[in-house]
Amino acid sequence: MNRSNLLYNVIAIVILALVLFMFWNFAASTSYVEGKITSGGVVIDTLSTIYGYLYGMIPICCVLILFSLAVAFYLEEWLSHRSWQYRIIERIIAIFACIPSLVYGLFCAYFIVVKSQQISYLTLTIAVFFIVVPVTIRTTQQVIQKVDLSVREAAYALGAKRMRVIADHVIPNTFPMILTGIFTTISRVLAIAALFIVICGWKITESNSKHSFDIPNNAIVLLSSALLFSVISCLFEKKKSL
Amino acid sequence: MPQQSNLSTLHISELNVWYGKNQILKNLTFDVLSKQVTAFIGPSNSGKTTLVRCLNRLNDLSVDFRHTGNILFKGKNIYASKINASEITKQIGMIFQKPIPFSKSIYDNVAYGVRIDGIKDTIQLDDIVEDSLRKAQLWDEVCDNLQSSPDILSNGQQQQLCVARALAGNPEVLIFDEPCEQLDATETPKLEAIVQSLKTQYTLIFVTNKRRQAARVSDVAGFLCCGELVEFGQTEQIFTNPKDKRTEDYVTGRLG
Amino acid sequence: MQHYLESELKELQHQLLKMGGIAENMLRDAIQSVLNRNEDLALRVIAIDDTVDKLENEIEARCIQLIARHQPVAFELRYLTMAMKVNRNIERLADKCVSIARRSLELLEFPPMQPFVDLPSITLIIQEMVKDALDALVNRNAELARELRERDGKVNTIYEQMVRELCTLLTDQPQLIQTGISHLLLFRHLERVGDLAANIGEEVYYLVEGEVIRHTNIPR
Repeated sequence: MNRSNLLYNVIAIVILALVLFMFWNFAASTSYVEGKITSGGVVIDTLSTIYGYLYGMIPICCVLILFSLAVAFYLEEWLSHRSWQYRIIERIIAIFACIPSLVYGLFCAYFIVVKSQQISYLTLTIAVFFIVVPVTIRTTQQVIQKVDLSVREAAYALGAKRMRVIADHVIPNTFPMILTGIFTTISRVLAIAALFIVICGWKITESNSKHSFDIPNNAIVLLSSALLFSVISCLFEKKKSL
Repeated sequence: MPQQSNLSTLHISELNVWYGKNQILKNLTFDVLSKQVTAFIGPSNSGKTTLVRCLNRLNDLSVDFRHTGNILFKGKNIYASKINASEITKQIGMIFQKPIPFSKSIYDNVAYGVRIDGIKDTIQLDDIVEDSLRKAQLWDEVCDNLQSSPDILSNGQQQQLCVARALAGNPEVLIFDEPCEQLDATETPKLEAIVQSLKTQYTLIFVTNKRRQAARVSDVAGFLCCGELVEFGQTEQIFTNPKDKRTEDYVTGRLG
Repeated sequence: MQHYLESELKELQHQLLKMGGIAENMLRDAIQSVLNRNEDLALRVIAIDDTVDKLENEIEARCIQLIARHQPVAFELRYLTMAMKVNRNIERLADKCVSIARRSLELLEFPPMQPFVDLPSITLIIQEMVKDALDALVNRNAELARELRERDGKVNTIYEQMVRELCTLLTDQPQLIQTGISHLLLFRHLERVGDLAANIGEEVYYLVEGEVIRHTNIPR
């Protein structure tokens, strides 16, 4: 079972690499992006900066994913499930994880990129943080929870300590699935970036004559309501599962 | 109740256990004698499993577990702050309801506990693995494919593998927590025979909800009902002349 | 677990046969003491009875324990119930031997009566029967076990004949009434030994064939 899982992962990595490569080519072939947006003034800078910072995004993603794995393991292995800390963190993560990542993407684009007119590692990290961390923590937690309690108990009963149990049983049993989760998350981030470019590009072609590029105000309203509904829906989801 | 303290491996006195607000065990006092099979019978939810999980501190894993009273293992309180839980679990092995082979080779499964102790010498490991598998009466079946995965074994053999794995750590006490629950009718007698053969070297505690099984395998039996140790004594006495009405009802099959 | 119970049953059979052997020896000694007017033998028989009583208790406890712990079925169940009954029968047989020895001691106080023709033959038959009953148990021989009932019939006939003989004798010589009664009781005990051997045979037959032949008519 582990072996076939690994196979799937390799296939997923290959496909992901291909997609990444194609996207890279597509984004880099300036004919589409730059050709359409040369008249966009400010927008050119914004988009090309985002595009440029894709170089920055990958390392940021890696760091954040490692961070979220650590958080997930801490929550599942060390923190008591009944403690108030666990419950609060769990609920916060649930709320953030339930919001579609496109919402984050557009919000970040609007507030950080368009409003502040500049991008740094910090702003980008904040943007990616909300997309990556909650989802990764959530999927990892679920995977860890799937490790049979009996396996842990059997190991404890043989005199193993906690770190040993994690190293011998939890990680080997969850590793393939965690890997899958990581790649899914990275692909999500990339998909958001791609969507972002496409949407902006389309918007620009429509409002070709205008010199300022603004994400229309009504879109903000729509996005806010989407955010609201996501929060409400995930609150309900949490209640049911508890 | 047998009271020869020099023969008693575990001495439990006034043990109360709570999970959150529920009291699971109420004021249990008994001795587990060495080199004997002590069986605990009782209807489900009577606290049998909780009781044996107290004995090897596996209950520590549950957050809202609370207890009062003493559990002395060879005269030492196993819940004393100085004593490490993993030290206790090493000396008090456990076999669970479900056979739980790790996803490693048969050899690595058996050697698991020994490797935790830091023994790396291959010859020594080989010896221990062979010896444990022989004691679990599995050696003849698996000696040719020690490196294959335990998936090739039947349910009963997997349980035997778990017995071998527990034996490899050289425990003094071995707890069987309803070990035959998932085994079929032909595998059960085999496991019972293994229990009988281990009796000469280990102190065995056997939890079961099959009264006939308890009658067959045990020397001393305790009847637990709703967290109380209703009766504790020689198996023959429990099954031929129980002193308590509830025990009588249970062993005759009128209760639970 | 079957294996475990099997060895326990073997142990049980061993004990039963040990007890049977003791009873057999007691019977032989008791009869010898009657025939040879030997006081020592009779006393020895009476002394041994304690051992048999103890063994009986032991075997019974063992049977109950095995039934309680293993809840046997089929052959094992038949075996254990049979063992309990055979156990009881052997103990009664031993008691009869003691009674015979007591009569033998009583008879020693009187001068010997005229020898009964049938006495040696009946003692031979019952000794043979006891031996065969135990053999049937060892070999699980149903035929031999069933045949014991027929021999018991023969014993009864001889017994009746001996009683008639004794009656005639006493009518002729009423002064011998005391020793006569002792003799009558002796005959009765001997006849009961035959019954007990036949009972053991019936139990063995039940063990092997699973069929109760008690209280059914003996085919003559």
